[in-house]
Amino acid sequence: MLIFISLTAFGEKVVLNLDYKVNEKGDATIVYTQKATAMQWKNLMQVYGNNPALLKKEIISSLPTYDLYDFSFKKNEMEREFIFTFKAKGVARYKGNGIWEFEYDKKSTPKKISETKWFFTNSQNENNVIYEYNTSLTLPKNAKDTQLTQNEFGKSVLRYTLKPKKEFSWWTIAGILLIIAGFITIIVAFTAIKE
Amino acid sequence: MRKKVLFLGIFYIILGLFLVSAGLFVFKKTGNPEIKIKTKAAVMPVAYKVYGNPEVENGKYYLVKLSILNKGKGELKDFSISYRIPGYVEWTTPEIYHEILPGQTVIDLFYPHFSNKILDVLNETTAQVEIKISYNNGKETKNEIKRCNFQIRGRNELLYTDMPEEEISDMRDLFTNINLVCCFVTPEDPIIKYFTQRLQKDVLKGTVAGVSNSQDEILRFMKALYDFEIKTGLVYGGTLGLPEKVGDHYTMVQHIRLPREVITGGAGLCVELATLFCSVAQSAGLNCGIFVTSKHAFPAIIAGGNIIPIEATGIGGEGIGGRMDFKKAVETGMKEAQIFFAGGNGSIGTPIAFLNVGKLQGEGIRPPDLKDNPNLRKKIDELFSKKQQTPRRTQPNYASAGTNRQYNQQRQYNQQRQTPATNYRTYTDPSGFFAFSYPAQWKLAYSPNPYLPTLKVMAGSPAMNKDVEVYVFPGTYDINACFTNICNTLISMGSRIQYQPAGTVNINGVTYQRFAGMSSANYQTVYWTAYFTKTSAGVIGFVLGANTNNLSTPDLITIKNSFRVRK
Repeated sequence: MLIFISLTAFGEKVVLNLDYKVNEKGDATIVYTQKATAMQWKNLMQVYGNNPALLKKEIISSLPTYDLYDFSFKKNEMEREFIFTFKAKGVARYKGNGIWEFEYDKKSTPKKISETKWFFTNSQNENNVIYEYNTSLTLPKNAKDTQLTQNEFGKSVLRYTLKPKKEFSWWTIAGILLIIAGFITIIVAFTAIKE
Repeated sequence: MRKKVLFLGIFYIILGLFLVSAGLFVFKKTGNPEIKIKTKAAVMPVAYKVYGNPEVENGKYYLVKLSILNKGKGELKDFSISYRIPGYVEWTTPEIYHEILPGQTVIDLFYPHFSNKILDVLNETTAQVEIKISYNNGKETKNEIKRCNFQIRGRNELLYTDMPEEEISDMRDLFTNINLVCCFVTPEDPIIKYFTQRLQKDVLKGTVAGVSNSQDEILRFMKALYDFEIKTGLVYGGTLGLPEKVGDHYTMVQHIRLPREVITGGAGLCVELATLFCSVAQSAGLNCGIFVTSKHAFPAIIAGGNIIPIEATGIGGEGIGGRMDFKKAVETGMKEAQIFFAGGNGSIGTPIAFLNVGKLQGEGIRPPDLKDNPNLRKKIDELFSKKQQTPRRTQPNYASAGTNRQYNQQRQYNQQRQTPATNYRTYTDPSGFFAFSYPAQWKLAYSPNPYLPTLKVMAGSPAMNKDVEVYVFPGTYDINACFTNICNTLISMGSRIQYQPAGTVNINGVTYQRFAGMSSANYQTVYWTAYFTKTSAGVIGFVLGANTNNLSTPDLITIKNSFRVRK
């Protein structure tokens, strides 16, 4: 869940924001934004400015448990901010019976904003640079019973319930309609006999 | 009429029940998996512990990544995945996904638990990973096995990057596996432990360097190790440090000897001397780091908040302009570390990483388990018994084989220097397998290297600055294995080799696989291009070499264009 961006900063704090929006299939759209100080921006532009594919490679490498695709990159030079958007498959794992699990870094501090909105923060000191990761997680709107727990492997997970929609085949639907029609017909027939 | 309506109602119900049953059991919505398999191109035996640990660097060292998308309209039930690598890893306990919903994607990663048997692989070997998949798509249970090939590199090989060539855009892309250098730091190796114990006992006469953070004591330990290396004649084994640009290509594979091989072999590259220094220091309880740049590598001791770097190649060698004393080696290391942190320069190259060995090994980048070896212990004993003697001087000779026969041949060539002539002679193999033309004044040598029986004939220029060597491997058709065999033989004799495949080329109607590279031994560097092909007799190849990076001279081109094999 962590993305390590190599950045030459001068003992500064680097704040990285990740916004996960998880859908009913367990896939997510992830928006990665970074707002930089003037010096950080200079370094960022030196490293990634004309080569956002480099950042894409680092993101793919740092998130091996997802299948990433559909990348887009925007930068706002006036605000010294860049936004990287991509989609990820396999972000939440389905355990059956409507139970889903989202794995998060056990070093993160989770905070519940609402039933479907969570916030995780994590700070790491890498070579005297403090990296602060702020991850916001938005679950599908019908998700409920969210709870922080550990899975069978001892990994920290956010568990939630989201019953999958049950879809019947047209054959079954037509059959049910015919059965209903049959019962109505019989009732009509009996009513007519009594009269 | 009413009865007819009643019967119609009953008919509707029966038909409805039939349709419901058909919908539930016959025309049921089924799952349909779309499986994508991504396999790493190669694994390095020295890092076998890393591949088995999904916690290392956020799980980036997986071997197989399986992406399963359920494209069907029904669920996939009890989707089970198991892996094996025949000869190396048995079938794994199946990972079972009890239900995969329509449209859902599951990612499954395989982290193989190799045993240290993988360290027996000396040459690049093709291996296969088998994936057993079983699932119920709602109608029936399906089983299938998928297979993918990957390479197991030689035990001493380090792939600096696993990034595809078309993705490489930056110096850092060439070093994505740089942390795996720590796998070559082997403080738990019984031979290194034995060496360290003897150093502590016989040279230091006791030390507390590993248990105290006393800078004086740490420096005493470092000095003892550095001076011991000099006294026992360990030398810096060449000018080639880390991968360099060869022609238009970057070499990404490097042969790195294990510290036990460096200390008993008597020579090492910068990175090998760094890993040796760190192995011994870690074995003594100290924590170490390695500064890695695009051109160089040097070790440091990490003590509390201090880093004490040392230029390990300062041991130099008489053949390359002498040696630095310990004080000078530390001063040089300090200067280089300052340059490193300031962004590097043309001399030491671009900073790639400072590897905190203790920290990285603690995070799972573990060295391999190495077996004890009485012969190597004996060699260590010999080193300690001779440390009082004058450091040995290596006899400069042409080839890494170091045989007198070759040395004499080279002397003969040098004595017979003549003005180049334009006429050529033709050499035809007595068995008729191959033939080629070579300048008339060049000298032929038949089977010149007893360690390389596959080297059938060699022709060298009088000044010994160019040559052609012809190799024959009867009864085999695996070009890569043959080529790796040559490399490994030369490496075992002290050469350092860097190379990379350079496509195929057609010579006289025969397609040859081409390799470009360079070798160094005894302070000489040879640039070469090798051409290998399969024939009815086996694999035949020839290597054109020169001591400059210009292999497009008329005589070498003539040799290449004249080379013929019997298919």
